Amino acid sequence: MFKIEVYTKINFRNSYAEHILFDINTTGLALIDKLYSSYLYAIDGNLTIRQINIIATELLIDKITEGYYCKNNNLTENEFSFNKTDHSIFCIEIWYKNGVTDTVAETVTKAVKDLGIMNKISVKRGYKYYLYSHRQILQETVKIIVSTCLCNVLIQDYIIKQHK
Amino acid sequence: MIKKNIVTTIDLLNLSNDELVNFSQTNVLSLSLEEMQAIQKHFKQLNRNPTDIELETIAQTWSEHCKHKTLTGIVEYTELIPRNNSNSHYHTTKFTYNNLLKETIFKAAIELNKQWCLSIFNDNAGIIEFDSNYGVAFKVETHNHPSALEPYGGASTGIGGVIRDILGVGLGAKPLANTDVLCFGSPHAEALSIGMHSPKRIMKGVISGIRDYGNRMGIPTVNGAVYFNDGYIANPLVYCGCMGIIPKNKIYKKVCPGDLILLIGGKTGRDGIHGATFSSIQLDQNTDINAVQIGNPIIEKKILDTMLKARDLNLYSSVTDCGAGGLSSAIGELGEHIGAIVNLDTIPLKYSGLKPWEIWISEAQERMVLVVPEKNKNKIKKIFEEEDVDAVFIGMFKQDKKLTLTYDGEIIADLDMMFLHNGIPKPKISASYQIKLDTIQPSLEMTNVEIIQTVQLLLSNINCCSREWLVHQYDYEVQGHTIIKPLTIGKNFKLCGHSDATVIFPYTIVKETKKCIVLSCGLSPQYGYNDVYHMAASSIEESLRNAVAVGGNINKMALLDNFCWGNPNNCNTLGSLVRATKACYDMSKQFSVPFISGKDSLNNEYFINNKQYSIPPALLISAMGIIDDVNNTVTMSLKQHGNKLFLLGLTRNELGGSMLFNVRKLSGGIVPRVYPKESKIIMQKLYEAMSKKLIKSCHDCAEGGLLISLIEMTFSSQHLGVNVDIDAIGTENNSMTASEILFSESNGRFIVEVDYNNELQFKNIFKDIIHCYEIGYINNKHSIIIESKKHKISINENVTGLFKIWQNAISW
Repeated sequence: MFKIEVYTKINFRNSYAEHILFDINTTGLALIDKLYSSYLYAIDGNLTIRQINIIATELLIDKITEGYYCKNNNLTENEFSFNKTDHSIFCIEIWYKNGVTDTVAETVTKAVKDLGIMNKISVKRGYKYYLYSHRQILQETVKIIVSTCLCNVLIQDYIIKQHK
Repeated sequence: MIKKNIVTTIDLLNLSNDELVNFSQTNVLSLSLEEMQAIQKHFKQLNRNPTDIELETIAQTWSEHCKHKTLTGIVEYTELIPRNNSNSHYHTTKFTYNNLLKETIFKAAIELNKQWCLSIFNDNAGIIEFDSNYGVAFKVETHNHPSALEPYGGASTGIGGVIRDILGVGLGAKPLANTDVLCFGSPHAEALSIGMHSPKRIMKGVISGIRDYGNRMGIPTVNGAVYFNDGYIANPLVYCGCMGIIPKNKIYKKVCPGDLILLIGGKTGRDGIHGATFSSIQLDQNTDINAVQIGNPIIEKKILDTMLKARDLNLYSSVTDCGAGGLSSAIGELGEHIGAIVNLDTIPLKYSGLKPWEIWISEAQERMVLVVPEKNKNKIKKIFEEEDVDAVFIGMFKQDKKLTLTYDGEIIADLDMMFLHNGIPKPKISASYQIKLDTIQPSLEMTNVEIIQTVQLLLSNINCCSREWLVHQYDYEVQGHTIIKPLTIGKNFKLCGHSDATVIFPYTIVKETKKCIVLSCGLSPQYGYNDVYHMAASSIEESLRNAVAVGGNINKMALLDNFCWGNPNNCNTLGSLVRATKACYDMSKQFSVPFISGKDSLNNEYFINNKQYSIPPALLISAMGIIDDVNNTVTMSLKQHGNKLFLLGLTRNELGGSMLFNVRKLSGGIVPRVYPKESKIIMQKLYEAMSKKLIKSCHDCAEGGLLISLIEMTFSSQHLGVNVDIDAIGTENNSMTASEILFSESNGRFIVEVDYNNELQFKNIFKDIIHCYEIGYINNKHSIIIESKKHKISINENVTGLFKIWQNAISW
């Protein structure tokens, strides 16, 4: 399985992340200093790296404002960018639960065929958030932030990973 | 003979009453004991137990959502009316309704007998005549519980569902515009408990859902309202509407034995299973994931385009959407009078593992069912295949008046259509309502400074402030028909006000036409605390007033009702519902405006920590009308320095439930009444004046009263303001104070701008109207100047500062 992470390039404004940060900081949990967000696509199927790169560049990203990482494993610590002043860095992945309609994934599956890649694939779409804070934040607090602002636990699962 | 190895047979025949109730609750059937007993009796007569899929089919068909058991049921209503001007002495009247809907709202429509009403209460939407070749259909639905659980998905499927209602009316109408009316808890409030969302999160999710679905479908979202009240904190109200245009020769449906059943659109999954019965229960923290639905507007857009193509080639004879209850309801309704057989193996699935009953009642989105004569089988399939729309023949209509379902070559359901549709017992329900007297509050005096401070408070109040942040997310221009838009924007694009109503001019569809369609709404839950009759009447009058304010013709207007109420099994809750329907009948008759469609959403209650909460009753009234000449429509923005301002309608001391009382934390007062005779003649004369192009701008007086309405007019005008003399305003009596006059929310009032050259003609039209007052003129200072010698009031306030207060209250 390949996991493609689509991020906004550093010199471009990520207004979605700005709104999420605003929401978090107006819910009484004004603890987060910086927030980055990206989209995740988990693509399962007998695909080559070259095909994955075609899918990412021709389908999933806006080449001007976005870039992508591609991995064939799960979260690793080298995903975090470090800042000496950040005491707390969390990375959160959110995915739809099995059985919940994932319309973007359905569209990607069709669009991959339109690219001429006829392999049978399954796609899942997720979200990824990086939270940075100058303060020490407990994982329990992050769970509250996730469940109140980032994830609807009725239809989505989340994984929190903390950099130590 | 039913084969039972792929379905579960329910041992219903031997269950006790307690076990029947328990079974219904455990399996989310939402059936009462009487209904379970009726099913038990029916299967005893058949000498067999039902299968799970048969029971689920009956539960969906008999659900409140599909059958409207309360509004069509027998209601024994008791009304307690105060005697001797006292709230402690009452006399009682009793009345029994055999069918509440038919004897109130529907009855008014029948009695009014408007020939231009082409379809009322018998299809997926109401239809009125647009011109000699076209009709326009309008439907408003609610999607409250799904939006409480998953705001984005719930709201987007709400709008997707109502668009399918328009696609499913007659042989399919082309959607022209969407509407949305939303009620939330205060956005500053926290979530009530774990598992529930905060009102702000619900609001943002709901608005995003409506935005994304409407925008991606290419249908403008043009009209609506937002109301905040903490009574909706965990149970938001999400009213979604859609209006479409349909050729008159495509209004009527036909289903014949031998016709094929064609399922088009999305694949079937477990989405929304028990949605129909779920809407009959209160929300709690243990709600099932399967109740959540997620929409895909791209699929629905493809359905829209291909279906209308097939319609115009006369390839199908009937259509309906898969809404609540899924295929069970859709095919059950289409085949009600003849019978149908469906092979569940043929239905395309999102994933394997679904049980037959899950396939049958799934509420997976973006699906329509078409009735296709055998001869058109290949032609219609080709049309959908060409556009990559899934289209599968899943069965056939028969003559045996039975619903037969097969799976894996075996019959798994064999239900009698007569029992399915008419076997539901009609229980008697008691309802009671106690009318309360209201009285004028102690005299309310304010100084100049206090009036300005109150204005600032009102403009920054969440129920009065700008909705610009929200409206700009919606594409209200797409299709290019929106003549009067939700925002009336000043020439410099820095200022804007909320238009009273929206006007759609379908010139690309009806060539050479001058006719256009006005859409408006009225919602006044704030008046329901005192008496739901006045709440309902005010909502009706407000919707008509809004439509008339932009050029609507009261003589060719129709209404839609959408009741959102609590648990109807509560005698007082049902009593208030009955009283509101009485108001609907009275107002419909007196304004001579028929209801053409409606929907109720009951059981809007929720439990948190074992404590039960019920929403404040809310009746949304949506109005749709036809304007003969688009050139006669009018906006609210002031047009010309020196033009005269007139106030039509009488200002009464009606501050009960008002915005002023809300921000000043005052209670009591008289809730605004509706005076249909007085209002209707003003509306008729106003249409006449607009038709003669005598009115330059017009705005109704609503929340916040006259002063707020005047300020709203200046918000959408460049460099212009108003000079108003309070002493010229006609009031009910001479004892009203300046603040009472300025903030009263009396219904039936319009502020109109008249060109000084047209003053005589205008006055001539209104010469027989008592309540027409020249109250001032338009200045070029961009200021609100209010004066009164009698009350010693002198206010001069710049509009720009007020606009910023109004605009910034909600801007996320």
